[in-house]
Amino acid sequence: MSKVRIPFTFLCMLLLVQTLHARNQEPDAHADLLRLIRSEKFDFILPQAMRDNKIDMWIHMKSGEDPLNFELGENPGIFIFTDRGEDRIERALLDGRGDRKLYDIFSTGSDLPRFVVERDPERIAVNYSKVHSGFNTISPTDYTTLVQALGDKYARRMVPADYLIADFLAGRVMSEISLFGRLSMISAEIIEREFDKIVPGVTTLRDVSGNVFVRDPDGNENNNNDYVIQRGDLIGILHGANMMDFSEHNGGIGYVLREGETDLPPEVKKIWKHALITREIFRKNIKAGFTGGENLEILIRKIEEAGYVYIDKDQYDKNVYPEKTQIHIDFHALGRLISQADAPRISPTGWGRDLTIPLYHTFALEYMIHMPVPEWGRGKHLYICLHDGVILTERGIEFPYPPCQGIRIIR
Amino acid sequence: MNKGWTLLLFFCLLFLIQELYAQTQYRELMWGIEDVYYSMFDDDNPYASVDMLNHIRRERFDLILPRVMRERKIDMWIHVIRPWSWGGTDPLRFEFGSKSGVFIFTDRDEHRIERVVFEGEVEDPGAYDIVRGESKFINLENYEIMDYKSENPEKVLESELDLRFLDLGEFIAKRNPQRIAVNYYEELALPEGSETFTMALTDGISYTDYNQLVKALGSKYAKRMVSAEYLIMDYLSRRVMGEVVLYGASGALRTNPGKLDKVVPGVTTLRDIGGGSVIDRDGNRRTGNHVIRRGDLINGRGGRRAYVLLKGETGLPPHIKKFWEDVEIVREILRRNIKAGPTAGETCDLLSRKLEEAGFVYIDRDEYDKSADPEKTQVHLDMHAEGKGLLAPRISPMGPKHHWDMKIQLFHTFAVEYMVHMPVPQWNKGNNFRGRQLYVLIHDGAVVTGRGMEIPYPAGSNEIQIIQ
Repeated sequence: MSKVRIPFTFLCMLLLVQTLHARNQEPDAHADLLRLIRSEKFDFILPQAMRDNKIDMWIHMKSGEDPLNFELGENPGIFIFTDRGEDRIERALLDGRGDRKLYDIFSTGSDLPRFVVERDPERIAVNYSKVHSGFNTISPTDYTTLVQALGDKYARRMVPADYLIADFLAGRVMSEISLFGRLSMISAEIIEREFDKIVPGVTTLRDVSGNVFVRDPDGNENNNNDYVIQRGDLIGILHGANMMDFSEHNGGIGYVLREGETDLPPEVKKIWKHALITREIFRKNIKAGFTGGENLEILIRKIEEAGYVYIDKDQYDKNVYPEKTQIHIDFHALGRLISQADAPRISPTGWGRDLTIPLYHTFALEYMIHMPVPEWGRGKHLYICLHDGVILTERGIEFPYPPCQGIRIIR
Repeated sequence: MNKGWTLLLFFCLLFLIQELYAQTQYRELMWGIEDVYYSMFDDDNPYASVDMLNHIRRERFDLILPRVMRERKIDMWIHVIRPWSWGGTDPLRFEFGSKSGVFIFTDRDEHRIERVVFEGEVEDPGAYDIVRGESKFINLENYEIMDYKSENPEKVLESELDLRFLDLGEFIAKRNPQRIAVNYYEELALPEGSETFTMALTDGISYTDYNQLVKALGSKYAKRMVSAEYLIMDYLSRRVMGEVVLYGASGALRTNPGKLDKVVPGVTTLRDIGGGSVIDRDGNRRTGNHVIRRGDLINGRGGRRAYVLLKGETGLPPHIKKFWEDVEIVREILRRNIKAGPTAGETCDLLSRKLEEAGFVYIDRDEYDKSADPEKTQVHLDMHAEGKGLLAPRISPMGPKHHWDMKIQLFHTFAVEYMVHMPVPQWNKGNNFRGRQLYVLIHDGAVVTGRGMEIPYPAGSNEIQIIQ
């Protein structure tokens, strides 16, 4: 009997594992997809980013861990991109190994001085930064070597590549957008499964995967700690999915019914209504071509015209109109880990506030709602955080996958 | 120990059944409209979930519907799908999430179109502002009709056919539309308003329903009826970002066919690699159970292409190298010249001119033209829309006229389908062309953005693999 039972059980387990794996499999970093994304970014994003930043040549000295591993590959080398006035940017790789289909020229590092002189660039962007460390990736030794190789004339033309790199990373091609949508769907499924795990009075925030948080009516937050989830809690979960360095994360909201409740209580329904009203305001008013800071100013005006109070910190402000709902905004970029901080950002914080929001920008529509509940007492309020991935097109904000549809009920 | 195994087995089976059941629920949830899936919405695309399909429908109502209605100067669009058409072929079934009903879209607001299901049931009621549901009188054998007649003797209807359109006249009068588009034909030919092969036409309304609608509208509003044919074509041919995501996902699943690494010259047959064809070293095309030999250029299924080196060769022979270079030059010409804005016909004219300027011969049929310059490679184009069954707009000499007249829209998803015929002089002794040529059909996918033609998933036909 056991001769039959053991293989049968094994087969069942195998089938089960395969079935679960197939449903939630993250897209593989297939070589053809990586090559396509790199090629499309070189064709579509690079010329625009270089011309917007008035750069004739970009020299990226890559030696170790680098924020451009996804775009340039993991191998070291001297990557040189030159705008020679045509439709495309010339791509050269010195002292490195790369895809022969993606680069026009392969050569040795000793060719660098001649290579630069032949092209005679006016502005040479190099991967260092005076104001921001995220893209300050050239090593001191490489910097010195480069200055010597270029000679005085061309070394004087060197400028930081930080804004150029930020624009290059922030630009999205359609193959990235398709990947972004797929990853978003996967993370949304994962969030649903994490909510399934919750048993009121038993499950702690630490038991749930992702960034899991609950705030009390005074705004005190428990986050991924041993707090035991209670009835009446509004829980936020943020969770991601990624393919190599290309990543996405989004959010879900759940409410744990109190004893006797069969549906969301009125105040929770009301805060969700605010979420939809503000989502629509954001959807209609974010535009490409403005900086993150300029977009923020427009949104602040629009939400205040709609009767809300804008707050520049994610904390309930007890000093403003006690009957008004307060909104905090942090629309950071999505798609690349590095570009979440170092990319165009519609937010009161961050270096990316000054960067222009490009067409097809992928970012998180992340906003926090603090709604006063006067019957609970002065300053007491409800809190939710919305976090959906979106893309900005010529038509405005589009959702590449179903955004959060409501507050999930946990019984 | 026995108990442990039994329990383990029980739980494994339980979870497995649950998982499999969850997957089959997908079709159940898409009740009645599963047979409208095509391409990006195929149910073997794991990303085409019910939530995603419902989301796409809503995005289309938000982003596409107001534009196409205003462009066509339509105030109200009434689309009638017969209630007894289960298994029918109306092309809007997926768009509305229903197989039967009276759907009314009214331009009443600056930002959005009012969406009403006047009569019928829908998959996703949340996509609509008003869902009256299926008429309770639809089954004339139920008691409601008896009760209605006895309670409303003054409203006794001439015919029980009228019941589906009860109160419609009042509903329309309240909105007072100037131009009412209805799903019938006035100008387009049948193929112009059709979807691929099996899908229905844009004049889905039946003769009976048309008459009932005219009666319900009354002469004032019936006179304002116009054909919805162009509106429907416009609506179906545009895409939202969710569709681009699904299009990219389904393309990525279809491509990546793998390498032809296991081919052993003289042993492996075409059937062993899943079919396809070869052009042998003498230019003969071979199919069926052909044994793959050295010098064969393999056109395998799924875009897999390979060349089997002859003894002494270390790379592609010059004629095949030139052929593939031509294929890539053609792709680059397409890529640089396809933009949003011009019509498909204008784009086809532009491409044929660019191809000729680059030294190719453009041919309007996928057949080698023996009368053309024998030195030149010939190219045929058929870049039809892709993703939802509709072939329009179509950058091609083929297809009906309206499909050429339609403009290439933002996020148009289409097949990069072109055929290349290259003569090989050494195969045709003494200038006696014997029909031998190198030929390939390329069929990849693309999206038109504000930047031009972009590739959303890896092409299946990027290179020729070399088999030693």
